[in-house]
Amino acid sequence: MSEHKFLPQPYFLINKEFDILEFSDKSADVFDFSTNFLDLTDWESQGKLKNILGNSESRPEGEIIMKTKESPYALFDISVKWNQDECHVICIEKDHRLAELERIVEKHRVRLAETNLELLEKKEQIEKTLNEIRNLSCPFIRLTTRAALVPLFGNLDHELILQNGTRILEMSQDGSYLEILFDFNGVGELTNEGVEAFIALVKELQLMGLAPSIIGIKPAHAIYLNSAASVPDVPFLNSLSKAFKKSVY
Amino acid sequence: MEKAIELAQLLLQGNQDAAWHLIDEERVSGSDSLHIYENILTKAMTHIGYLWETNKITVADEHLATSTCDFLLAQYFWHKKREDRTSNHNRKAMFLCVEDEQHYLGIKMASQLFAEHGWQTRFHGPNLPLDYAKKAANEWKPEVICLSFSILYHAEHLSPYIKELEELPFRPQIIIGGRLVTRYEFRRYGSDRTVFFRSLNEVNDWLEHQPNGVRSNVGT
Ligand code: B12
Repeated sequence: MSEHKFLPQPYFLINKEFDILEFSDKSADVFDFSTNFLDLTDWESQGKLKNILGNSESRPEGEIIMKTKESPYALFDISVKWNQDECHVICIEKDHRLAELERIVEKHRVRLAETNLELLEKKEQIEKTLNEIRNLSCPFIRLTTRAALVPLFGNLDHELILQNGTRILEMSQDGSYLEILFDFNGVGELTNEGVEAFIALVKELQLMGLAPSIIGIKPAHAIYLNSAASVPDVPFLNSLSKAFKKSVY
Repeated sequence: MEKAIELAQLLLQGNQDAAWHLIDEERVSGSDSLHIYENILTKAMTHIGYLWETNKITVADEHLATSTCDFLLAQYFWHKKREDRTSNHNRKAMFLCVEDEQHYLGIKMASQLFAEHGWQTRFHGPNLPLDYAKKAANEWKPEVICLSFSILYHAEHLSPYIKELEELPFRPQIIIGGRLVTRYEFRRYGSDRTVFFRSLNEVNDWLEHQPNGVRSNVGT
């Protein structure tokens, strides 16, 4: 046995059949004993190993997955040098040097995962707030035992009616209301879908025996309401006081 | 295949912008998720594996490429969800890699496919020990639990995972996937209820045959 025995790294001397002829003490520490070098290598690294060992064109070094006492898939850097029919192989374990890189990559991964969640959470929060705003945008106010006021705030779009229509219908049945006054003073923009949905709501109220009317229409609103597919058959009054007078008498 | 090789180069450079540009072009020109996941991203990663086997790159390079690929998946999903009109439903699926398994890109793709079909998903990423998996499942009660593994030695985890998860009181459906499932038979690790999928195509077919998996035009 030669000095190779005392090399501070796993070392092997092998022949063309990859039979192990000599090895260092360190090799015996790291690997379970085997007579053939291929057996120490992960099955999906064997092709690569054969290339590094057998192909004079290829670089005489590279990364290989090896089976150690500690792990069935440890990453090694191997360097090889042929001398006639015998090959000297040094195997240096790499995992500890990769640990730092792995830590950084893992941090990135977690951050990426969190970023998405954060975005998603923000979006959900915003949607929730928007819903709350919409609920507040259509309060149902009792004026007298027979009349209620529903001031609309913000844009009259499909969502506004979708979200508040049922509540308005329900509340209008809860008591002895006859008249529901929709106040448009606080309305900004209108959309066609919003107007259609609003008209549908008005018709439903009428079906239930109530008399809806609309106050505070601005010229910009009127265009939408008049061009709607089915203009509601309701009085348009320009002020609350007029509406109120009408409803009281 | 050309696109995949081109992408592999960008991933190895960590060039997020150019890589995203390539994916986005595919997306805009009408490629569906299946095509993008299977034929572009997976093929690019497999090509990276080939470059390692032929001694052109190192595992360190693979780390960088993985990180970039992960970013692409998230970015793609974000865009996809924004424009998609598939209605969500309340069916729940949970995704994880078995203990010690770090290769999570494949199961991330699977989880995104489920989400694109309107499922509620929870993605637990790599290396989730069985005790954690059981705890998470018990709290959330998913109808489906998908497991992935890529390293042959990790196949031995399958039996306990499948057995103990299938025994949970709400009887979840266990689905197994990963690169080795295509090559070998792992049925003996499961029960007659366990499903093994060899590709995302099979996942997609399965999803489309689910009562709620049908595409609709109503957004929620
Ligand atoms: C990239 C990569 C890495 C990345 C990890 C990437 C990640 N986070 O996902 C990093 C650098 C971290 C890595 C580390 C290691 N790797 Co690696 N890695 C690869 C590589 C090159 C590509 C894998 C990949 O991302 N493919 C793309 C994905 C999308 O494909 P996929 O996982 O197969 O998924 C598809 C299907 O399977 C399916 N699918 C997957 N899961 C599921 C689940 C369900 C439910 C369904 C329905 C479908 C499904 O969907 C996808 C689309 O079709 C492969 C080589 C190869 N040819 O695969 C080696 C490879 C898998 N790695 C290997 C090894 C050995 C390692 C290390 C041990 C090396 C080391 N010591 O550093 C470590 C082990 C870490 C660990 N404990 O798990 C070996 C495995 C050998 C073996 N005996 O099994 C391979 C084969 C390389 C090799 N030739 O030696 N690796």
